[in-house]
Amino acid sequence: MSVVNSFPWQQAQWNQLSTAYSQECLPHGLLFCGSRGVGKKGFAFALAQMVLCEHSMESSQACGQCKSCQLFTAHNHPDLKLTEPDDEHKPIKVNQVREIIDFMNLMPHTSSHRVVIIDQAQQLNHNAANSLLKSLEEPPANSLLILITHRPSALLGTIRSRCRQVLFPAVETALASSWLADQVPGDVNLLLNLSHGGPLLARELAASDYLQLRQQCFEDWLGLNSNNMLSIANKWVKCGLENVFVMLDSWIMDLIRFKAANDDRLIRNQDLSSQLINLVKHLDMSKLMRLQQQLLERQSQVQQNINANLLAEDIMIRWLECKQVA
Amino acid sequence: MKFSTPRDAILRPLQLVSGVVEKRQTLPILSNVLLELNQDGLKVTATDLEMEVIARSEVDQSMPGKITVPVRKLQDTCKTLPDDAILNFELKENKAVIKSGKTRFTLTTMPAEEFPVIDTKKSVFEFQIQQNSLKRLIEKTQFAMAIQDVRYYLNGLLVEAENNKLRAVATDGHRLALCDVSADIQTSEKVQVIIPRKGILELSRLLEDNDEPVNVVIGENYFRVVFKNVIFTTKLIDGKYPNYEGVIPTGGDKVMYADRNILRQCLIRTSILSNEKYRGIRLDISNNTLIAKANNPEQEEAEDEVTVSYDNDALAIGFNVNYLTDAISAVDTEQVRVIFSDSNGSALVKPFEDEDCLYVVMPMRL
Repeated sequence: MSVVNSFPWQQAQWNQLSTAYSQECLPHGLLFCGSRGVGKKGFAFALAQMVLCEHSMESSQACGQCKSCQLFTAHNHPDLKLTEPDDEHKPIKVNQVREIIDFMNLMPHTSSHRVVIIDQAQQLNHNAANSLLKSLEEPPANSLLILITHRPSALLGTIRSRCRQVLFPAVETALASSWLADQVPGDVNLLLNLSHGGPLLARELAASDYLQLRQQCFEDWLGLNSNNMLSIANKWVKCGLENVFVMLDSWIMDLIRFKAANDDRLIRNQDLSSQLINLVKHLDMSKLMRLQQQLLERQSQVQQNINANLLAEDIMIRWLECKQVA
Repeated sequence: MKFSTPRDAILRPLQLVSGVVEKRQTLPILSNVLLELNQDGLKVTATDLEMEVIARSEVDQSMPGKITVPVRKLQDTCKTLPDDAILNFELKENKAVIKSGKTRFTLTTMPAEEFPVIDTKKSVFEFQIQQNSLKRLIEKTQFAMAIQDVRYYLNGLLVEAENNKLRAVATDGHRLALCDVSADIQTSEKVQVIIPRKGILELSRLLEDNDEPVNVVIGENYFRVVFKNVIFTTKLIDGKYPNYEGVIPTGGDKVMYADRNILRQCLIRTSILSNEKYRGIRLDISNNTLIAKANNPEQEEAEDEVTVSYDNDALAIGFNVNYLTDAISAVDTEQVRVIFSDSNGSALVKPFEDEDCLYVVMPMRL
């Protein structure tokens, strides 16, 4: 048996919500906001286990022993419903929300409460979001709805206003790096920099071949010319253009930052800093800014139905132009 | 865990419970059945988290235990064995081994502790009732339940227990069905629960037409019916049922008696040419005759006349013909009694003399 714990940097949020729970004034709708990889979902599960546990009222902590905790640990809890998009960029559809409504309208199965967790709530499509409103406003007694998002502004205002927002700010670097150092080998600070301070995202990056991929793409990017463009575009599309665009974005942002402040501590991609500084010398600030704008546009288009090769080539051409004139 | 049994002794309970197992589950363990073996025999449990069916069976047990195994595979295994086969079930290193003659199957399992069973500790009260009474209660009312209405509390059957009486009410906002049966109930206050539509349909499949008693247990969050070898449990809808008594018209003075079958046939015939969406039908009643009229957007018309017993002021009233035929079909006396007040008031459909069930149908504007 085990208890899902919140992460060490979430103590404040945990205290706030567990106190509210033990005083029986936990709001029925919670909106967890914070950047990616700070452990919002893990926190939601920890909270769900506590609320569902049979003995948590006294201790504000899941016991890890009762039937409810047993089912929870086996991922079989009948009173917990997790809804998330089928795929990261797919919307949450109205049918999924209807299932939630049906779930909430029935009495709980084993526990006294029922908990619904909606991950990636910003992906709720228009109809789905609207059909959730009624349940969010006045759910049956003893229900808890937790919405998780890293982009609260993408949610309907009517949804935001029906939830108590709980903020998960970026994790303090010292705390994050000491936690991460226990989990993964390698350059912890670099990983944290790359994941914008989200320790869980950093752990994920470390576990995948992200760093290797990044190194390769960086070399491609430096060595890019009009002859090898098509083959590199092909290669990037194969690696997942979206990831490559995120990397590009962080490199260009580094260039802009360094150009503006001339301070190499501002460079997030520390391992590449000497190469980036070399590049900056020949580049023009206004052109970089424009390139970054264009990249943002292309990034949002990746998810749409546009030929990925064309998108990649377009950005490459603009990058070459940017370099050439300088 | 180890037992041996003739094929039928395990196939029958599996067939009883496997009806609730859905093909597509959210949790992998829901495609399994829970097998529990102790001195009382074998207990087979299946659930879809909304309802749960437990079936009991006598087997020769040699070692008690409990485990979950995939229901479809186990059922197909048993079904395809010869009728007189003897099954040997044994749990070996977390695999279920089923042997019969020279046949041998090894099935994956999941731990029994991880199987969600409805918590039946919080029971409110229980009583005994004859099986056919409960069946009648459901049959007479279930057709009026709403389907996927946003007023979720209407997507189920209200069951109300008071002293010596059990009542069921169903409504979808346009019509209402109510039925009372007598039952051996002692309670200080009225108990109301709403049973979800899915549970009612499954329960009516399990109920048989005989006078064997069944135990009904009403809990805070569940409704359970205990048969001799089967236990059916469903979760309840968490909501408050609207005050249905306010909907039942009182003081209607225009009473019409008609032969149930003839009236029904007349309505069904006429309805062929009613608007397919609104199903409107017009009834003109006066001087012992009823004229039913319907027309559709293509300007086709149907008219039918039947003799009824009615000696009050002439009345013209419109109905959704489906609601009216549903109500009339549910009455089981030969003659049916319909009580009107005026052309804007709901009609009350009742059996010839009895008062144990009634149907309210709202009129349509002509």
